[in-house]
Amino acid sequence: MKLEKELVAASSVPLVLSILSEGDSYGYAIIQRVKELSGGKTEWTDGMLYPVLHWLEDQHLVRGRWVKSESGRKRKYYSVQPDGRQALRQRKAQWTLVTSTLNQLWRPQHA
Amino acid sequence: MHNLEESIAQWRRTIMAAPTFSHETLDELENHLRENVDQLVRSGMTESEAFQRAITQLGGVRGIASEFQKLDQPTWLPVKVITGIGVTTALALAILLIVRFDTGRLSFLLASHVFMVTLGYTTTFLIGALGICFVVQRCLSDFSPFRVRSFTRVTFILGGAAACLTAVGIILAMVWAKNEWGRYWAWDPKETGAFAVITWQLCFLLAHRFACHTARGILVMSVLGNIVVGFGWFGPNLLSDGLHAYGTRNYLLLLLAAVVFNFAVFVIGLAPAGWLRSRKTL
Repeated sequence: MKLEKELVAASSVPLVLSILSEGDSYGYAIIQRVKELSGGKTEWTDGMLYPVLHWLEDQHLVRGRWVKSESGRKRKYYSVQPDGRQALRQRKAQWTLVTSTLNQLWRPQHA
Repeated sequence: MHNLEESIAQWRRTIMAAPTFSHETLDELENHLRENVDQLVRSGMTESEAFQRAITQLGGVRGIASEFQKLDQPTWLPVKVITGIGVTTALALAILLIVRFDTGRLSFLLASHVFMVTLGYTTTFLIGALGICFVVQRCLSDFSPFRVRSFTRVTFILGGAAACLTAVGIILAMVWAKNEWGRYWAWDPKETGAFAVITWQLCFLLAHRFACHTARGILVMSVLGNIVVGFGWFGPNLLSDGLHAYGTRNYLLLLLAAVVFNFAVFVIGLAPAGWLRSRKTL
């Protein structure tokens, strides 16, 4: 299923912050985690993740650092900062409200 | 036979044509591409197929570039205004000094000294003016870390220019003083003022280099700069002695008012960001 562009944009920040709150990660691994969580149904254009990561870094919500992996390849790992955890709590509350409202409206009616 | 390294180098050249990408971003995107190619090859694709698939999944250069462009915030209005004032002042001063030099009222050395020192001092005042705008806007809302970094960069560039101009101006003045008065330096009030200004300008650059990357740090430096240059430039004119005595001018009250104003700005700047907006909404 292809998600609408606006929905992908709106969900990208809480999604990335939530994944990073599980532990430090890098771009490719974050994309793989999104695919895994959505059962491959969420189609993100991989390159679109990086502007989101850089925006989060600019806002001091995450911090990036280059680390050399075992294969010798350098990867930029991101970790959530205290402001990022606070932002995630806020986003979580907002999305919970939206989903619970929609769930109530879409609940099967038993006449 | 497909050459992955050559294909990646070609892709890098294409993507580098878009000025939006820094080398770091490019390295990050290339790393992503390589990870994806490795994964696709492991799943049974040929290297050529894997590369093509990875490029498609990464997305078009234009699309990614336009997303990155959204991160670039437009230049803060006070920075544009102050740059305009700085350029206008430099042009007006150059014209004035050329006219004076042309009519024989100023030697080339003296005209160059006046040009350099005036611009050096004015640039420091312009940094102070930016600091004041910073405090005023901060009363309403806090600046994003991105904006603070941009502000830090602008003030560092301006601070460097101010220090260079003042230093060259002082050296020219020393040469001129040796020719005219027979000595390079005599701790005349104006010279002492110039020494205080250049010392402060160098401290400003050192503080920038080693600390003070916070909004408050920048504010303190900007406000202190206004006071130091105010005294260094206009203070000696209030004294009737010294080789630079151009006649006592009665603007002591104005100078003191400027100091009080700058201190008031400094104190306001210590209040939490957005305090004025919170009061309004009460």
